[in-house]
Amino acid sequence: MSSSSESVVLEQYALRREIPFHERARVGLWRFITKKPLGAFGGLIVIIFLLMAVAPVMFYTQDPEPSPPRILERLQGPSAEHWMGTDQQGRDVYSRIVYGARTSIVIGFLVVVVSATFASLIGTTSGYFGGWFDMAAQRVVDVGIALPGLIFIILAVSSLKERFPPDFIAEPLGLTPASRVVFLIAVSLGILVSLGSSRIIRGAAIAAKQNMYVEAARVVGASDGRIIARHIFPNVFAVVLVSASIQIGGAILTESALAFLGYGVQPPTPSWGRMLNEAREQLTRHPHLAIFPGAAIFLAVYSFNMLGDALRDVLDPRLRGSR
Amino acid sequence: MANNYWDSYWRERRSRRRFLGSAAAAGVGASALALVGCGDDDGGGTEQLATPTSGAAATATPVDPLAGAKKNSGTLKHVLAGDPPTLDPYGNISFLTKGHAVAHYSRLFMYKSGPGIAYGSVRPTPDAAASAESTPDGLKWTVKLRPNVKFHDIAPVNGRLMTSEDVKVSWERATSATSTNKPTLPVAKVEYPDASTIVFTLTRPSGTFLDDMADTNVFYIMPKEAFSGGFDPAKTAIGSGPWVWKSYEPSVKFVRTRNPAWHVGATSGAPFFDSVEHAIIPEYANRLAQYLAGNLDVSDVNADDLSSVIKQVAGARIVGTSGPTLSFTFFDSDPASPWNKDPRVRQAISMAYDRDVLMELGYNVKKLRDAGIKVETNWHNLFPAGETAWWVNPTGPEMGAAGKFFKYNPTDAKALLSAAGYPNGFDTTYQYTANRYGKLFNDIAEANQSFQAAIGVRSTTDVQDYSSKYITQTFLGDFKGIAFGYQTPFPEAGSYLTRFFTDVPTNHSRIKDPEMTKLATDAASELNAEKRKQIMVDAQKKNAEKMYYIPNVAGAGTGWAAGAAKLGNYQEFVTKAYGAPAETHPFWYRA
Amino acid sequence: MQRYIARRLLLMIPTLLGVTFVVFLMVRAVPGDVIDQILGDFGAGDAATKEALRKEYSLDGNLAAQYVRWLGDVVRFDFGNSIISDRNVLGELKNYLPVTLELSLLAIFFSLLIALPVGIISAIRQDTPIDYFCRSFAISLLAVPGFWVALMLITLAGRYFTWGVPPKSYIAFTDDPIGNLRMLAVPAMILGAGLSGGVMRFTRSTMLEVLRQDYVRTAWSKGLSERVIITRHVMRNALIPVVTVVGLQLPILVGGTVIIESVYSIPGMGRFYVSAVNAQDYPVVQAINVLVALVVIFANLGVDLVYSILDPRIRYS
Repeated sequence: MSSSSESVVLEQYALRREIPFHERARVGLWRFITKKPLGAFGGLIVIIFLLMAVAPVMFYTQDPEPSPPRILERLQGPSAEHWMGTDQQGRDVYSRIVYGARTSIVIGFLVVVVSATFASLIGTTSGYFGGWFDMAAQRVVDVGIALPGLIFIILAVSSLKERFPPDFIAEPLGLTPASRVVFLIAVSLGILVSLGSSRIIRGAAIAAKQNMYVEAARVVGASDGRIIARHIFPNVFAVVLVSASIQIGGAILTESALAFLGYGVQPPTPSWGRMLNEAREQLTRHPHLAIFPGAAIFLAVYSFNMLGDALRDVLDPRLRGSR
Repeated sequence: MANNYWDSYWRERRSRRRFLGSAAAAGVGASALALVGCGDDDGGGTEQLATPTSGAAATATPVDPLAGAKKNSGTLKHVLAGDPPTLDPYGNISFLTKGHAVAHYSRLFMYKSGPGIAYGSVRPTPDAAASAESTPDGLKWTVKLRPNVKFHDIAPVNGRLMTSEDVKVSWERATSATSTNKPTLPVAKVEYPDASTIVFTLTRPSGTFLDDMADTNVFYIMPKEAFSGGFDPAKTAIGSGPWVWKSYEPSVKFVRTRNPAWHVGATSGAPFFDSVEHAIIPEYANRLAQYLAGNLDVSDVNADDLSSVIKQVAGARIVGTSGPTLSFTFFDSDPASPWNKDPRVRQAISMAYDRDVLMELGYNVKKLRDAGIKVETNWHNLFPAGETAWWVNPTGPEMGAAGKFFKYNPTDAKALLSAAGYPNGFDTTYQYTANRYGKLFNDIAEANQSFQAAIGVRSTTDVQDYSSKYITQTFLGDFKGIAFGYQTPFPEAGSYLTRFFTDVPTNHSRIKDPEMTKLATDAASELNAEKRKQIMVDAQKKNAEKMYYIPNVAGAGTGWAAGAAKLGNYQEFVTKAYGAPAETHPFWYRA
Repeated sequence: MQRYIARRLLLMIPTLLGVTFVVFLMVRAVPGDVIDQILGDFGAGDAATKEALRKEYSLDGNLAAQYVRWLGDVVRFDFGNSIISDRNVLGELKNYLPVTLELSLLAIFFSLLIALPVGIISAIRQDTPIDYFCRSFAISLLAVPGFWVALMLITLAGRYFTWGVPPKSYIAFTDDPIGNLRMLAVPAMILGAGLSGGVMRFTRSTMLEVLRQDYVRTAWSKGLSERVIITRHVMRNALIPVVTVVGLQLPILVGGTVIIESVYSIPGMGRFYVSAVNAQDYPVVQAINVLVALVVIFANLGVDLVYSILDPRIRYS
């Protein structure tokens, strides 16, 4: 009897009229937009940049690398044909910016992927296991934190430019010499950044460890790996995601600074930072060469930050409005 | 390996535009090719001077005293784009070190600059030497010191006279194991018979002895106290040059005062400025702003900014220097590579480049001409366009049939590729360095690749780090594919042939063509000026037929520097290499 | 407390050892070496000269021996001489480091000048248009590349208002304080603006946290005016963590002034560092990395201690 009534309830539950996904999404999105207009704006811009990175064909108006070059059309101001003018090689600045989005976005995302992976790995294991493992891991983290940011990245990029990643990694990945530099910047920056955020994640992991269900899982004999994956990681995920969205902005700025110092990506890869670097000696007469890439960097960093702030509020109410 | 210093010579010179822009501003001074008439009244001067006829080979003639020069001109507000790596002239090959050394130390010979002397006709003139004579076989040179060369009046040297003893210890330092710039002269031995005489014995005749002695990379005479612990040349400088050490704040500025006892200015009264202050400003935009604000007397100026500078600064003294630095495409030496299987591939690549358009890219030719500014647009041959004594115009009749390989002709280029067995082109790697030679080079290097791709030479770009890869590997022929680079502006043009076609590491494409090798060795030992010129012409034509090295136009156009309106005779002085602090600055004055 | 400090100091030893090791290896990972740099186009430099120079600068012999020798010197705080310029590294840094520190402190000052008021207002008016505007403003400052602003400013000044061109050579504070400020004020503002975004965010969040505390609610219910509550009760507590964050920015700045220094031709450590990296000048690169690491480690410790003093709730044991 009881079992039959149970099954009736279950059946009713299963057959209940569910709000369709698109309906829920629409409502959720609408709430996000009205409650977090700046975040929504950031999100929109981020989506546009992502599209540019994935499918530049949708955006560009001219061949960003015409062959033979159209040098005689060089250094024109903005016009109907060239919305943002042309650069020193006669290339369309707008189309170059569209293609440059790929570099910036790839570096930005690669940095946070590397950083989030490393930080989660070190942070959760270090926090979960504690003891000598924690002690040893934290000393390594100490070294990383003490290595001075930009200064060390410059050293890393200039030392490893011709060597990293080694051929057996680069070749299967199809990395050209130009994209190797992108890879190198992203990985070294990602690792450096990850060490800092691993501390925060370690803290969150230690907190999560105190939960009863972790104890319960251990009692029923769940393996450490399983506990970390199932019970610890979900608890720190919000922290990871939020710091990632903000780190992307920082990574894009760092790439442009490196490019400006001559350690960034190399031709023919277009990048906003490199465009600025190339414009530095032509600012007097052709400010448009610096204004548009500068604006692109600004917009991207601004948008990622705004989106990050809003996501944090939504995903992790405890951190609302905090760092 | 001989000739090592030439490499750096060239690279440093090139990089100055970007890193050391100011050196260009005042260093090269000015070819005046563009704005000042280049009265080439001393035809063949260098060769005559260098030809070892016994007797009056080179006699001290006072540098033109510049009637009307104004003394007590105050402080020359000059600029450098970087710090010398070290102050010791024998401690680093960098041109910044040489540019510092040349202000304080004398050489035996220097280059003569002045009204009417253009880049291509700059020639050696005595500095600390009074004269140099050679035996008729050209194997022994006797150099006499001037009697009035005094070191600066700073302890422990205290203004004493220079003797051959100082020359001796300096030569020993120059040739010591740890010297970074060992002389490449074929010197067998040096003797010092008395206090004012030095005798160099050579292993083979050299037509370029005086040029080598005048070269700012080779031989500086330092007082013997510098080597016996009297003072540390890495921290200060006491010499006999036109400028006396006052202070140096790293990354901020150098201050030097005039040497009232400078032997070269004995009659004219040079240096005319009381002191010179070199501000160290790495960023071009900042240098230009300082010049525009009147804080600097000189600055390098981009071709793009030139007309606005002229508009903004009333009476700005603009100087253009054309064509000192050769740029060229070179190839790997793998016999299986397309270009080594068939010379037509190399010819095709040369014809893929639209040199007029590349010239426009590098030198803003059209806009400057529209603004009424005269711009030189000669292309490089195997010798750089500025080397007017030897250069053969690639578009001129003298080139004969080989001239057509310089002309932009993608259709014929494709046909040549087809004929060579590559109707659909081929894939390769294209390499150059983008962190040394500055924006102009980088722009042209990037455009080259587009031009190659247009005829079917499709390439993956490998932009290499200068020091860790380009100059240690690619430049020495250790690479795969096509490369693009600059070559040192050698004061002595024979060096191009030696380095391109003989068995040395800097034979970048590892060319083994007995005909070319013979031309190179002949040019090195030929003492007759006319015969030598013919060898040089033949070499340029032969290279063009085979296109072993494909000359480009980067470095061939006009580079610009601006002087303050009050810098009266700024435009009249041009020199080679890094000699400006001794060869041009002392002769400037404020009107 | 003493035990805590002693423990922290002890933990520094492995950290610093790790830093020296990583840096030592990294500098030498570049193909070619400092000798090649000295000789210019080294391929053409003859082997005998290279060998002689390597010996002169003790670069011969195996890496482990070199590392141990260097470490021995570093322990005695002797960073040796630059291989490139032959000048003493610490002697050089005595000139460069204070300039960078001054620039950094000025930048922090400017960043607070912007961040504190904006952050406070933004927190008080949370989720209003004023809040949106303030946050937008702060994030905008963070998003503009500083070197871009610097270049544009210099270029425009040269062209349109030459009075705005910075002094051409650095003026030491001891020589002429006004001139020194004329040189450093604008670059410091640019750096400070970039920092202010982060500080503003942090200020806002700590303000919000404190605003929700019970005692603040009590204050409201007592009918105190907003001004009194904010200035007396909220700001005092909210700004404690801000102080610590600001302290942590010093080391970031010390490494981050490279570009602005070269654009404005300021003789700071960043410029010195970049030229040393390019020249592969091992002693200089190593010394700067190790010294900045020291600054970072001590700044971290200092911040933790200051925090515990300011906030009595936190006690280390």
